[in-house]
Amino acid sequence: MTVAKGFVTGFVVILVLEFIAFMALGMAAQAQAWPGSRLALGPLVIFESQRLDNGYATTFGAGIVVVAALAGVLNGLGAALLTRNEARRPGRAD
Amino acid sequence: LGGRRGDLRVRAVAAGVTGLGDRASLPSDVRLAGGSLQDLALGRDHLLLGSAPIYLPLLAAGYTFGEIVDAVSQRFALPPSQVRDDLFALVRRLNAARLLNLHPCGGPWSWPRRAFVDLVRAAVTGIPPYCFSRRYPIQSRRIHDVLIAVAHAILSAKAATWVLLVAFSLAFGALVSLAVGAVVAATAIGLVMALTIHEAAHALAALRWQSGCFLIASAWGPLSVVHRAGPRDGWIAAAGPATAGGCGLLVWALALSLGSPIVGAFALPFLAQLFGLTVLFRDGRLFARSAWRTV
Repeated sequence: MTVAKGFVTGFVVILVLEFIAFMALGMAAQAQAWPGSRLALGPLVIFESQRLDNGYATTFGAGIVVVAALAGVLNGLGAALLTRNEARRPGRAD
Repeated sequence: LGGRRGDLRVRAVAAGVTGLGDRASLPSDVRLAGGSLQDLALGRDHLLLGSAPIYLPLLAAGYTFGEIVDAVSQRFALPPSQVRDDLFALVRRLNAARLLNLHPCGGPWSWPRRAFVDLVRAAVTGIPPYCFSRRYPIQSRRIHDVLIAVAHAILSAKAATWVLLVAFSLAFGALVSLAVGAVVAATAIGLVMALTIHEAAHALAALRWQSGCFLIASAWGPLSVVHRAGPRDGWIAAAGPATAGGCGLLVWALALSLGSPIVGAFALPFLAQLFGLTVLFRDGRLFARSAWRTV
């Protein structure tokens, strides 16, 4: 159960932060009129920005979900490993 | 032997930051009653043993450590150095147990000198700055009051950190460009506000599900909300990063609608709080371990 909780939390957090980061990157690319950029995991596109004749296009690919899922798996495994060995110190939130 | 030597060095540095002109006080949610110290926030009683019942009424009355050493050494005909060591050991133990706050001599505005001395001492000894943590009671359950109490604690306890950040922002602005300096300053202000909302959310959740809580903070150490342990610890731990991250999403949406990079930079520290939900941080580990079991 801890693994599932860790997976869901890691997946959602990284997905949200990826969207925000790549949105900011797309806006910066548009503002600075960069020629275009592409980030991909093999055939899976994560982020792509292209300069068009009449504007600018920013694309989020399926890779963004794959990266979030990988982060979720790592977070889930980390939750299983780290919480097992962590001393139980409830009653304190950092 | 190495570990012991390290402990001795840390204790030596800790002893070096306590002076005979300093005072101590009981936090408002700790009460000296008879032969015990009552922690009202956590609902615990601590029995006073040994020489503690002699020192604590004097500490609570606001005498300086030097005055207490003089009074006790005369009354019991003991060497002042022995009384001083005994008193400092008690003060350190009570401070580590979050039952006693220290007030260094020189008044509340002597912190720039203390921060400078801390940094120089850390550079010379190679040990991170040692400083006594301070307990800030949070007694009101109203959001407004909790936010003000937490902001006051964060701003006052970590004043040196914020001054360094502002100086860094101004230097960056002067050396690189005003626009970059403004972005760095917005991030610094966002960091203070994000920490305030993070800790206030912990405190409100703790007040919602537990009988009481308090904030501990020190100049260079971590910030934490301490509360009685219970089945909702995971939710209390998740409340901080989730609330600050949620605020970050709202501020980010505002930055998008305004098209303002400064507002976007202000949102960054809030959004970074979302990492607190992952197992990289203690809040995330507590949440993963316990939160959903109590739904």
